[in-house]
Amino acid sequence: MTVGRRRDRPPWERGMDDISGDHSSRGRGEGRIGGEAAGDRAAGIPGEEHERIREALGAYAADGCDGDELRAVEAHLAGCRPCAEEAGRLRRAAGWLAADQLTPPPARLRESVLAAAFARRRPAAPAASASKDSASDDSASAAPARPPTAAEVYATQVRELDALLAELSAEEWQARVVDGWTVEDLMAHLTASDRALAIELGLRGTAGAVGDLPPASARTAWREQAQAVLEHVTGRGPDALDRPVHVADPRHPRQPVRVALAQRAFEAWIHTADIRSALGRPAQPPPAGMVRGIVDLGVRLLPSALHLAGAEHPGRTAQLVLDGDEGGRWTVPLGPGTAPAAPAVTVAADAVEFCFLMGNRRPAAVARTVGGDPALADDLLRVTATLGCD
Amino acid sequence: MAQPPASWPQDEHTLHQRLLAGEEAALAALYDRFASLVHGLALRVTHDRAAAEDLTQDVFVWIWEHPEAFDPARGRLRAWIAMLTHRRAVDWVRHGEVRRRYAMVEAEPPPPVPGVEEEAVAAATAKCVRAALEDLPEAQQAVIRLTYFDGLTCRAAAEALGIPEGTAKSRLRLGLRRLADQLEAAGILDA
Repeated sequence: MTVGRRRDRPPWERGMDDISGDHSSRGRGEGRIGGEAAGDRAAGIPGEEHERIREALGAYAADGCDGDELRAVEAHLAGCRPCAEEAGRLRRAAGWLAADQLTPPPARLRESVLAAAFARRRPAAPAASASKDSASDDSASAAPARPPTAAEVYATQVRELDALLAELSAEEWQARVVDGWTVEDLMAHLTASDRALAIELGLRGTAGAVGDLPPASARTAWREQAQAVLEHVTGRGPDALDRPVHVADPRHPRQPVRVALAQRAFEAWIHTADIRSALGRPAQPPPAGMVRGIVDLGVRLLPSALHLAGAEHPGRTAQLVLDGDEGGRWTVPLGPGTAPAAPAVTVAADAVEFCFLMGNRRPAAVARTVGGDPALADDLLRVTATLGCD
Repeated sequence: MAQPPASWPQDEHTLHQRLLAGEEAALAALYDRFASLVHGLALRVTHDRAAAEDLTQDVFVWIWEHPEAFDPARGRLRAWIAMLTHRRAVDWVRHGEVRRRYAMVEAEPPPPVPGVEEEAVAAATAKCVRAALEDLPEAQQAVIRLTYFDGLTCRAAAEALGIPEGTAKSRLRLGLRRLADQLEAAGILDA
């Protein structure tokens, strides 16, 4: 593989010239399609020269001129409006020749490009981002403070799990905490899942398996990678958080980065609870914003999960009524087709218990059917329990 | 927020203003929209993955540093970016090591895949452009392909085809004019 041939050098050491040759010779045309038409002075240019250049405009537009000829064409275009206009038109046409050549670069290139650009020209300080969350969250208007963002929720959960890991003994690190998995196994699993997101965002990710590392190193590797993901996605404006990426099972449709962060927070939270419960430490309530993020994730993935499980019910919807600070009502399509006016089933549960159900840490009985077809509720809750990680 | 294709010119204007203002997220948005175009074109011309990645980086870094060089009065952002990319790609081909010129005959690039940013227009437009190109006389197509896609100078293309340079020039001009006519008629190219 030759990729990354140049990327060994820091981006700021790389110039344009080492790749593209002598750009100074074509500086004027660089930013202008068809060059600068300073005015129609064609009459003042010898007819023979004008005709010769005019014949070369196709070659110029296809970047088929070089050396003296290129300079002659550009000099002529600067003073001849008709030629400049024709050159511009031919160039725009040529630009469409690539319309069927779209090939996405590898995901990792994005980070490298942005870093190189920002090293050359420092971005302006971001404008006040107060409006960012207000549009997406109606219920926030009642609360004095804005709800935490998905990145903040994940950052909080990373801190909580990190603090818990710090107090574990070597014995506890090897204790089986859930489904035969040790803490060590869980951390290897969390690290691998974060790594998938990191790679998709164009970051390097941790190298190799952390399962072979001593506990302190495994913990550091996990935490630093999670922080690198958070650093990458925060402070880049809403566009970075809206970018679609894979979430958990790659068969699901891609979701915005902020949903992927909610999924990472969900998984970290579930495993924190696993460890606390198995090692006899008191349970902790989920951090603010966690439940809302997890429910949003679940509602987004349920239609696709129902499809994957072969449990779709075309044209029918379920209503989800969740109690608690971050509860609310959601309408979930149970299959393709137009949604009818009334949901075919209504399911109610405590919001936190519903999150545990999504992680398959609670029986379906934590939810109750309060109206409609119980068979639909069974399918919905059975599939809900597959939305976790393992 | 996804913008429908109909609003692109306005959207492009906004994006350009944000680039001028140095807004970090604007470059990310520009990249997400046009990286497949830039990378795909660079790969098509260079037939070299590392070069295509380097050129992609150089194009976006250059735009970030020189957003004022884009003049909205002279065409769409897309055309400007295609031009910047193509110039760099042909320079790479011409100034690269000679063996690359031969290697490119063998190395087939991976099949192009429409990227997210242009998905809405890609399929229909690409089909239309391909049809317009294939509609040209063979002789004009050949010289367009050698110069535009393989990055040869018009002189080298003439040599490769065994025709006088003046003939190659004339075919390029006639071919691109006709292509422009067709794309204008199809509403792809702004008249």
